[in-house]
Amino acid sequence: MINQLRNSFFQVFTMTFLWVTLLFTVFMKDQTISVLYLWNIVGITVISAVLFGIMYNALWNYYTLKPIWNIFISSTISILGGLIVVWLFSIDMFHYIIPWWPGMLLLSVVLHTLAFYFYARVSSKKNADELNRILK
Amino acid sequence: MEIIFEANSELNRRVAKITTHPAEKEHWGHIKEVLDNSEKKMVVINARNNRSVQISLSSIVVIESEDRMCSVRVITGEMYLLNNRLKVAKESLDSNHFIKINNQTIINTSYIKEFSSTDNARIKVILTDDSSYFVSRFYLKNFRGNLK
Repeated sequence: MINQLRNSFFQVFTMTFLWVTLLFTVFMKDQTISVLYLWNIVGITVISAVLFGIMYNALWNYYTLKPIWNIFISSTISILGGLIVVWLFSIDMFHYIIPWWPGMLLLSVVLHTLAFYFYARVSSKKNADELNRILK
Repeated sequence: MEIIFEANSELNRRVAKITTHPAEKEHWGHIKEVLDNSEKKMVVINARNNRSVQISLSSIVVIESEDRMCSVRVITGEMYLLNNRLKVAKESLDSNHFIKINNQTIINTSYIKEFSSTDNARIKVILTDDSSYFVSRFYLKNFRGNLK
């Protein structure tokens, strides 16, 4: 489990780093950035790798928590992580979006509920039926 | 049935060759199953008197991780302790009969009664003694391969 989560972390880290670099190249190619700002990009990629490489992977694949806990943990941490990512990207943008945090949290809870409860329910039923068929 | 033992140094140490009359071929599966289930034992600790006892692997229903040790439940309902981590225990077990279903639990597939999807959108395996355990999605893949 630890090895797989570690691999997943580094895969997401690398892909996000390349993606953010590509976005910078396309949309902000005329802007000069300080060397210290590179650490902000590293921070953005580390947060993404923790969220998408470790947290979602562990919650969806490895843990057997109730959906309500998955929804609570993933909604809260993804919104927090998202806000920190925006803050690392641009402090002005962070101040611009922060008043809307309750709406973002609500949207996050709704989307995570759909994924962790409704989608998981359909998927679990399908898997249980398939395993029962194999048992017979 | 008469049993004749012969030694053959060319065989691997973990291989036993059984020769039968062609008419007995239909019983090969049964013979294999009996041998698989009867020969292997596990040394566990009886927590009541702290003594080591041998139990047959086929009697084990569930092995659950308890920090650095494991608890072992047998089909009669008795509980024992195993002085190993779950990972070490898994390595010494037959992978066809014992499957890890989540980070803390290994079950004996011989005692599976059915699978069910619970109200909480998780997959539950129900064993013949009516105990139930949750199966994590990652280990579900192993499960499919081993049950086929």
